[in-house]
Amino acid sequence: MAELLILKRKHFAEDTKPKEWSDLKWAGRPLRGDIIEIRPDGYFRVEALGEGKVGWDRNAFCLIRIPKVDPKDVEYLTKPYTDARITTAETVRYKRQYRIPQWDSLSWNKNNVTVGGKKFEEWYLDFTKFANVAGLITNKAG
Amino acid sequence: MADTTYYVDTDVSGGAGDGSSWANAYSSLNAAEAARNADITAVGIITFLCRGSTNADTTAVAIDGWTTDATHYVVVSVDSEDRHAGTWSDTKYRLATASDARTLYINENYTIVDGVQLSKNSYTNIGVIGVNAGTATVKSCILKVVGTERFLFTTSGGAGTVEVRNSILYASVRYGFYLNSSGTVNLNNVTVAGCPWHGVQRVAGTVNCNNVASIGNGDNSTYFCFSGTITKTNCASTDTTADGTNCETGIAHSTSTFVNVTAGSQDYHLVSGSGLIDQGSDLSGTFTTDIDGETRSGTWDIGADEYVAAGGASIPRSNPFSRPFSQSLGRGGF
Repeated sequence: MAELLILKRKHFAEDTKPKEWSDLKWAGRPLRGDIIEIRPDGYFRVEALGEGKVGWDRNAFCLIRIPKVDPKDVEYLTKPYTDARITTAETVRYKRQYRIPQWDSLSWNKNNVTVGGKKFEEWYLDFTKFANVAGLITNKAG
Repeated sequence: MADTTYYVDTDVSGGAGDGSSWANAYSSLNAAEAARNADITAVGIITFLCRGSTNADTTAVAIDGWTTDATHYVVVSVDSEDRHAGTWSDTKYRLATASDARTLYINENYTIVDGVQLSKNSYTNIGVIGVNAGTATVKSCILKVVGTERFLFTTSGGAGTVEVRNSILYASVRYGFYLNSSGTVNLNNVTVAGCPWHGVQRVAGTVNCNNVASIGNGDNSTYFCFSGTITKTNCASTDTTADGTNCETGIAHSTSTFVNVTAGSQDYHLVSGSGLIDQGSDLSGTFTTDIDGETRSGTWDIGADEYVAAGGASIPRSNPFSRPFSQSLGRGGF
């Protein structure tokens, strides 16, 4: 199983370009639904299920769990993207290349949990196979 | 608003994972950076304090998407107990990636990276650290290539000043520094070694090297220890390219200079009799210690390490967090 952290917190510049930002930087800004991190089965603790080893920032992220996927096979989903190399200027850049743009319309399990004395709303979702998630993922670089 | 520290622990178990304490630490710098990405110009200095002696931090990180200014910026530092001691250690905090992204990409001005070990085990031709910000500081870091990456440290940004200080870089398949920004890059007390192409390659911008040891780089035919228009002061090279003011040449990449240069066991601390000892210039107006946190005294040495004789006076590394951060890391300190 692979576990994917998906950005849930709205980025401060998601809707409006800060005046000091370049168009290039704004075009590559973080967006909700960006795929942030991928870990193996059982890595992130789902408090509602009593499973997992490590906490995750439930205010910032939601969690997708998919069985029968080697994290190494899907590690590329956390990549940044630039069309530049050492000797050429950037004309396209994404902090995260891959995103689930319809993240908020998925049928998340939402549980109110208390961890370390703090209350969180924990969003997680189990998929039966990666193909079901792959169809939701957009490659920003086209 | 106040300066804020968020905790990253690759060995954490359980907790809330929101970085509010060691018990609730993020398990990777990547997740911490993504969760706390913000306009911090009305907030303060955001420090990601990292530790982890068992598990490496294996996800590449991009410091990008923030709004910062000269007094409100991002710091990546390592807790004193899990900070390297001047040589690579797999029992100290390390950002060790195998993806084809830069291990650390700095795209926000004024970012400071302090005391981090970084390695990359994948060839993509983009570097272990890439700096696209105009102004940034990397200090007391160790960078190495494990596989076939061709670049250790690259710059590509605009106006500003990038400083690398008290750091050791080695074992790229090609270049050490590849400096292609239009601003200024200052390399101060840096050791770059064991790269078969140029050790320090200036492509564009202004490059100033002070007390830089570029040793065992190049082939002295097509590639060299220093290449391009670089102002070199009290630098050293194996070939003849350390040709600036008070520079040394003919310094061997061997145990006559460093403790160990064997691949996989490199230790670039200086040995007694090293040609780098007492050949540097005093930069105490900018910093006063070496990569180990030991105070530089007398005539400074060239490179990241200040030689301390066995049984000689050695001042333990201070904990930079024992005093206000603004005095230790952000504005002065080592």
